[in-house]
Amino acid sequence: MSAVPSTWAHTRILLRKDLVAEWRTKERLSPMVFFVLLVLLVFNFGFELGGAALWEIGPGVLWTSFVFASLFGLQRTFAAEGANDCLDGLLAAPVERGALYLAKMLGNVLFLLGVELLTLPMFGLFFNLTPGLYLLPLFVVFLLGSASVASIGTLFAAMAGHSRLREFLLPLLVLPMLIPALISCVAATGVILEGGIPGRGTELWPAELTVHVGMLGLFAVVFTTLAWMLFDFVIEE
Amino acid sequence: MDTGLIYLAIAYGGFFAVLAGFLYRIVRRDGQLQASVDALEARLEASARVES
Amino acid sequence: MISLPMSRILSIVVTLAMLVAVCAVFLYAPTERQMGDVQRIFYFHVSAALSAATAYFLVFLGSVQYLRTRADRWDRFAKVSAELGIAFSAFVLFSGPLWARPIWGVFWRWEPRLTTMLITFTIYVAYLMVRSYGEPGERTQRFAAVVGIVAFVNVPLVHYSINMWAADQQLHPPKVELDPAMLYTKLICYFTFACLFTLLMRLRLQQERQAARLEALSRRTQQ
Repeated sequence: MSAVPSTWAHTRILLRKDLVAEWRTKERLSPMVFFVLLVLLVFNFGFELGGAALWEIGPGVLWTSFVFASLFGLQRTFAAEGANDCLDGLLAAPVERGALYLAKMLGNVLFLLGVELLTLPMFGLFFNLTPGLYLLPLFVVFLLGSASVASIGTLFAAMAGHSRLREFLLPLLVLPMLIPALISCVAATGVILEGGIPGRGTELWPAELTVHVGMLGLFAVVFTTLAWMLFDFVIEE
Repeated sequence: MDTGLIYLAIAYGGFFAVLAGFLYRIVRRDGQLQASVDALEARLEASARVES
Repeated sequence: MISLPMSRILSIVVTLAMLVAVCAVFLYAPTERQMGDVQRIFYFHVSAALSAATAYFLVFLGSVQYLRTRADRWDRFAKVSAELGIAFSAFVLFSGPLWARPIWGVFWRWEPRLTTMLITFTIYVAYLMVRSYGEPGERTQRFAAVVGIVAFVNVPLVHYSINMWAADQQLHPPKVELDPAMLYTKLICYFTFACLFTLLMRLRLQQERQAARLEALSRRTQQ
């Protein structure tokens, strides 16, 4: 048994630190949940969501709200390390850079997932969804969607502090790159939510779902791997 | 078909106009850069001569 | 820079090739049966798309090499390639609607290739913004290289994804039997654009190198 902790051990420690900090202050989660609610409201008045059109744009509204909200949330990924030069401290310690990335990225995934799960009831309320088995595949889509967003979001969030663009950098870079993932999320959610409409037939895993979830999985894996490899170059001093 | 010709003309006209502009800007900036480099080199030379 | 022998030769080659290409496009190539003369846009439109794709690949190459060697010339290489990529993409996005309008009645449709080109365009515009809005220095170059790599990996993802999303909207015919004269014209245009691309790369790279030299010189004179 080597004395040096493995990458995974480092990741766990760093992740716990962030989760505990967030749990104590809830300074990222609460505002984000509230923000998603507000975005849903704005969409309602912007688009006249009522009646049959609901099902065509429902998934789109849901994911657009999440994407914009997550852009806000991701900005703060490295904020905690800004004070007291904590980042330098972290880098000076024998922690693998990859572990730092994974910890931040997983933290973001959990954070985004938390927001999505907390806002789902709101969405269900506005769109008259009845809870059902479809929630399981929906969770999978949420998970993979969050992973896709968090993977490149975390990488670019580390760059935002050093640019004159500041908070614009993240949206400008991330939005176009997320479009493929967004497409798959919306398509998958559309297929799933048909099960939530009262009266529609339901299967746990509709056949069309596999393609979309497969693509989402591909995005998540590719983005995460790529970002993990490149993170070293962003964080070095 | 006739409107087609107009669009065709706009497309190719636009292409060459922008290309010409591009090349013009390159050449002009080259001139500016060269002038600055010459000026600086002259100054360096002058200050080297003064010191010697 | 145009005075350098290689650049001079290239300029002449490009000018000649361009003349030949234009003659081929307007005089040699036959008029398309269904679409009429507007179809002639296709030759430059497609060549420009190919050039843009090449440019984006070169950005990737330059970015990887920069991270490996940390040599400034690779950073310049990536930057210049990105500018050219965006310029050629802009022409594709400009000529596409001009071609579409007389034939299909609309300037824009959210169809696979145009949409992919548009998204890719925005990704590389963001790339250049990271450069221009970053403090000049090694860190911005590093960041740009990272973005350059992620950007290129995204290109096939976007392409594949949009193709699935808008398969029904396809305006580009999948495989077309080209009249031999059209085929030759297309190849001539490919060649011409390749030469033009090389010339523009060369001119801009030399210019950037000169600018870097100027930077170094002015720092020396301030001492």
